[in-house]
Amino acid sequence: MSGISFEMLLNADPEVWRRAAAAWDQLGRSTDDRADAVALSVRKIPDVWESGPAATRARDHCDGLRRELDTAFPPVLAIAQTLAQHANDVSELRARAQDLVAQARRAHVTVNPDGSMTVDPAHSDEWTARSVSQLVWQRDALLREAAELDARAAQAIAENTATASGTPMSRVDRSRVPAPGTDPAAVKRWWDSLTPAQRRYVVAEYPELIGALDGVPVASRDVANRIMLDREQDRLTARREELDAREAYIRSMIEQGRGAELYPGEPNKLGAALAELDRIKEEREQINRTLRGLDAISSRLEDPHKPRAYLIGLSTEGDGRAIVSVGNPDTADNVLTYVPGTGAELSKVGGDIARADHMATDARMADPSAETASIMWLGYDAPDSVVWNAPFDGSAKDGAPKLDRFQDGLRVTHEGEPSRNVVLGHSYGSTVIGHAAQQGNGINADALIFVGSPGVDTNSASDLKGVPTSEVWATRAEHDIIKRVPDWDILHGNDPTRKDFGGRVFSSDPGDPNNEAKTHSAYWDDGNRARRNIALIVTGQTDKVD
Amino acid sequence: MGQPVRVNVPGLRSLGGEIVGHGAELTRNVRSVEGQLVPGGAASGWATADAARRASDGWETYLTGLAGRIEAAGQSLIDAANNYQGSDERAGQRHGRVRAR
Repeated sequence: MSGISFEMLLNADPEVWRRAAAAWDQLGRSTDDRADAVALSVRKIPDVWESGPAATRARDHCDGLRRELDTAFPPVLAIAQTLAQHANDVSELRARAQDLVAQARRAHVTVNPDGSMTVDPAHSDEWTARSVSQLVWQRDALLREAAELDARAAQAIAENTATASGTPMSRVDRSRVPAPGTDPAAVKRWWDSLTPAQRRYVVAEYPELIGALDGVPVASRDVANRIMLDREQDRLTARREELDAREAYIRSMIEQGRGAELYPGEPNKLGAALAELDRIKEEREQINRTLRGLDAISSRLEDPHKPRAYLIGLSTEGDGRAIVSVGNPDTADNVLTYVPGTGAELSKVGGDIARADHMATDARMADPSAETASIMWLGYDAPDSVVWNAPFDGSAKDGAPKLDRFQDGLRVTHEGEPSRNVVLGHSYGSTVIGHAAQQGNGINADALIFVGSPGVDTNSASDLKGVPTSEVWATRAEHDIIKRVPDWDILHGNDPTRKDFGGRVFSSDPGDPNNEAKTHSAYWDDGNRARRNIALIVTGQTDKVD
Repeated sequence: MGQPVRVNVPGLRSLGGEIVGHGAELTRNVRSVEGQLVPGGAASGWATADAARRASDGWETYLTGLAGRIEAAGQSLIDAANNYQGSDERAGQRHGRVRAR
């Protein structure tokens, strides 16, 4: 048997692991900051040392040092992730060891700190003997599982430990990385074929590809996407500084009466200046919006007071996309995917991440013995307007295959026993799910939840493939403004809370009759009974849903 | 004759100092987490704790070495700036002696 004793399980303290994880996170962040700083210095070398072989050698040497710093980040972060996950595992193992002790006590058996068992002489009978046999089996299974988890975590750390020359990487050609949209099972097979050194290489060199690939384990996608998050924040901040400098220059030239020099050959120089200032203002506003979203994601990832979050997807194109998970879905017992609705975009992602946090907390309260990951999935271009876009299904049609592939990806990267996977859509998000569940083989999930739905583009739960109708759930607050959307097929079909839809309805607070728009977003307010019901569905306690 | 090398001596010296500073900052970053990377107390006996200890040793050694190399790279730029300045001054002095004749 391994070195893990029953006493170690009883005395396990998840906090010591969490503190160590936080220190590794800090080391990773500061190393990454140094990489950014050295990169900035390297870019300045040609400004002060223009040419010649010595200048080129100096620049190449400094850039090589910058690359070493860059490539230190992924393995250091991988160690932080491993220790954070180990904290969760240790916490669960301790709880189960304590449960075993309590269970034994009820059977008149004392489980000693070293794991040995003593029967109360006053209850020494056949029944107690059978209980002891069962308890011994449970104890041994628990110790075996602890040893396996411990060995795996130790292995993951060893694979990311630096030697005197850093962490070795093995080159993988870019063409070997599966194309976006590749079947997640095929991606997982490719990932499994790589050595640890090759995985480090593809994460460090191709983060924009690896971060978006369904089928790559979540922990590695998180590392890749954090690299992209940092790059995007730096790029946009630098661009904003360029715009500010250009604007200041234009204004200064105009104030000096030298505006004509700005646009030689332009007949209407003032018009050209005003047009450029307008373009600058518009671009800067867009940058500020995007940075607001990116900064909200950074803050959540770095928050040491909340459960660890994983960045599973990121894009700043258009209105932006982001996929943030509270908890690691690859190791969780329950996985909730939350699809937000109309108006959702990267700049407003903070509010949607907060909802994912609430649902993770609620699930933990509903079932403390299980680990639940709660994913905020803004992996599609949500409609901007309730009036102009939301009545149409273009966004849903476009988002549905992406959601389907994401759910398939969760299944192939999950470790151990399959998790209970629940997909929840709010408002237009429910319409996206409706489309995802009607195409191909349907959606790869155990349950669906529609909250404040305008319709899911079908009038029957039985049309939603992949999920039994007994696990198609819906709620709508009495004063939710969404009730005013007609049940027309030309829009999104019937309200899924209708009896003839064939799903199951759960209750939520009625909301404010004087503010129906606010009620539409109030399902996650403190105390709303919708939250309890959602948590019960997510944790598989559907018999308690009201 | 080859292209003349254009060097902003004060700028190069300053940039060298900046890079030395990055190395020193990295050393401070590593020191600031010293002793915290290995879970203590109740973690004793777990293989994961042993692995974390080896990882801590490995990374602290590697990053401290890297910090030293970054400082050395910065110092090289400073030395290059000083060399260029020295060459320029010597050339100026030689030119002055010729003209004096």
